[in-house]
Amino acid sequence: MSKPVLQGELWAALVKWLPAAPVTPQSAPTPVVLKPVDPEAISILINEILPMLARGKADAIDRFQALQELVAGSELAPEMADAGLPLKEFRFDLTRQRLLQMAAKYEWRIAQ
Amino acid sequence: MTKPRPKILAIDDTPINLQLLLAALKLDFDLQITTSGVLGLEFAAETLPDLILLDVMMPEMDGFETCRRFKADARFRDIPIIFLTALGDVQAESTGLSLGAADYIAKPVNVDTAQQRIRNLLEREALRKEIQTQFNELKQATDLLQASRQRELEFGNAIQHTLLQGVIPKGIEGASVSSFSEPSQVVDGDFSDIRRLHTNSFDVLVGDVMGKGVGAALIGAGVRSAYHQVLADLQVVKAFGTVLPTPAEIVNELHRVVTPRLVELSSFVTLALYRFDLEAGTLTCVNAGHTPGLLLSARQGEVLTIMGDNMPIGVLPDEVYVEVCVPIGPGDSLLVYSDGITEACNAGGEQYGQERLIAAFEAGRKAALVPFALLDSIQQTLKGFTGGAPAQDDQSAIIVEWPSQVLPMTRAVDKPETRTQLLHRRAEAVARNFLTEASRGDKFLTPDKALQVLYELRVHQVELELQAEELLRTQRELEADIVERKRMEDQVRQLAFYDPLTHLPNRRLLNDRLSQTLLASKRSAFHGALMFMDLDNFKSLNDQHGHSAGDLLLVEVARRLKCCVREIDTVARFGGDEFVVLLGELALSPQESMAQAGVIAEKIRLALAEPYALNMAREGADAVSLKHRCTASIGVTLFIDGDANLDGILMRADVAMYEAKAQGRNRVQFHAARAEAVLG
Repeated sequence: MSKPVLQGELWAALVKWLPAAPVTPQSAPTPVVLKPVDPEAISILINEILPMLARGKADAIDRFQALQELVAGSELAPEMADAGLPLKEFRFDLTRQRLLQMAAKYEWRIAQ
Repeated sequence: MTKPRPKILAIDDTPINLQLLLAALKLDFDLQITTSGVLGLEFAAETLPDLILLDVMMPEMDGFETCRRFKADARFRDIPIIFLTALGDVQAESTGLSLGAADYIAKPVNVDTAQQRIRNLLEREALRKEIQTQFNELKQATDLLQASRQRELEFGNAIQHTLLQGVIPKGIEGASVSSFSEPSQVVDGDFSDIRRLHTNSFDVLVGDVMGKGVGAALIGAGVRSAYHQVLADLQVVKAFGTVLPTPAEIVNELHRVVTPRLVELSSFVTLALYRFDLEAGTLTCVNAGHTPGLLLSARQGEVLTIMGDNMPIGVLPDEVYVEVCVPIGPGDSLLVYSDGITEACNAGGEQYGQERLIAAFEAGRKAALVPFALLDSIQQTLKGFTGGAPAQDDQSAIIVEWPSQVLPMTRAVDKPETRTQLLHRRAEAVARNFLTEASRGDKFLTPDKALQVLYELRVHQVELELQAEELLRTQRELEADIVERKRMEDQVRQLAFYDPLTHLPNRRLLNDRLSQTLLASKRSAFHGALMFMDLDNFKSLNDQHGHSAGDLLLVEVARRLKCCVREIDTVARFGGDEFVVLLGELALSPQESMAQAGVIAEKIRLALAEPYALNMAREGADAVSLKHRCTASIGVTLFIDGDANLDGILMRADVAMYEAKAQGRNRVQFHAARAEAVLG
């Protein structure tokens, strides 16, 4: 993992690499409070990032990080972290594809 | 507003390299990244980067191929490319540089070095672009200047050839006038004018303004216009008489009017005014520093140079211009010309000169050429001398010939003309009488007397008007006659000198050209060559397909022959299926001349041997294309002035041609004896 460690990335990594904890019915699970997301803010940022990704702009990496920070602590954080993984290999096209899928799934407004 | 960051496109399939580049460059540059050459080409087309970083080793399309494609595309050709090579890979560096890369960076990338190299290259590229922009601006300015200069030249040429060169007026009787003007590539101030005064009298004015350019042309137009005004003014002054202003009076008045303006403009004008009076049999001339006129006297058989010792107009304010008068008679010809002819140079820088011009003039007159043909002949001789080089100065010439036989219609207008003169004199006498009496005092100028004079003047006026109408009618008839005569002259000339089928010069014109070429050879010592050719088996075509097929073939042969020779050479139809090609000014050395003639003859032989497609029209049916093959046997002989006469040269080429036939046709054969003499 690259530093500084983001919460969403850490969560995604832990889920991926750690074995699932055995269910212990004796104790009730601690409820996790998830941060609500702001679809409008996400739409604005995604509309900024998508053209950059399409043209392989390095600035897209910083902007994607800002997007991850925006969704950190929300239910979207793991999925967003997953979408950002191809950027490590500079596969802007794959990240773009994942973002478009998410936009469709969560009905974020994408400029044509 | 912040300055936009330079755009860099990095193409590398190794993420670690890209990570390093990203860290090193992302702050200062607008970085675009891709992992394949194909995508790199796509990205570049979209964003046009300022610099490209390119890895050598990549799957699918390696860095060298990517570089080749960038350099092959005009949009990217100038974008500097830096190769990312493995440390110590000298071969890769060398290959990259040979493909047009600007530099290379060894991996692992040293951040500082990479940044410095990139900055250096970008700075260099910025300078190159600035120079290119300045160069483009300079070129644009130069093009504009050139276009402006071209417009000025075209304007000047338009002035020169519409305002400066006179046209031959209709209604000049008893004389034949012809002129030509070969414009140079520059504008200058040559001008001319031919003005009919009476049916048997006319003026020829030629002039040249100092210097070149539109300024000279405008001054020339101004002087020519002033000449018209002066002539009109002086005629008005003498309106009650029929005496025209003399050439000296005209030139002196012109001098009075234009010299102050020419002095202001620091310019001067040479001119010569010739007046032909065919009734009196005189040629009167005022020459103000212009080229002399050449008068070829039929009686004396020699050329008289008509010069003047006056200065050009615009030099000395007190100059008095005097005229010279020489008798002329039927058969005499005058040649006036611009110095662009005598000062035309050959490749060696030698001027054509007056002596050659006189020789060409005499030769043409000896051949009894009409003025039009004579000027054509002089032009050909001049072209032969200069090798057809473009004229550096305007070349213009006018020939006036008084034919030996005056056409009967000259007399047709004598009576009306004489009667008009008489009426003029009577009107003048009445007016003078009236004025004389008026000046004596009132006692003689009674109202009755005044009325009587006015009545007489009115009667004369009516008579004059009637006469004017009659003259106008006669003049129109004459003009129609002259147009018809000119048309017939042209027709006669065409028939006399050209073959009606192929429009090539005929035997007569060939003889003339050959004698001119011999004269030129005498002066230049250059060899010429004559080719005599006969089409092989021509008769069979006529027999099989008729004479129209033969005619089509002859026309096509003529066309091909003309394509094989220079403009100064002559292609003539000698008769039937025989053609002659005359080559002049080959070389000083006979061996070299023979080689040159041989090359041209072979070129002709091959051209004539190409297949022919003869499109034959058929009555009531579609035209049919007849395929035909035909060859020629070509006899060649060299000549130089003095080694034979015209017939001898033709005979040698003819003999050589028969030798070619005897040796199996479709071949080039030099005249054996002549060739032996040449080859020693």
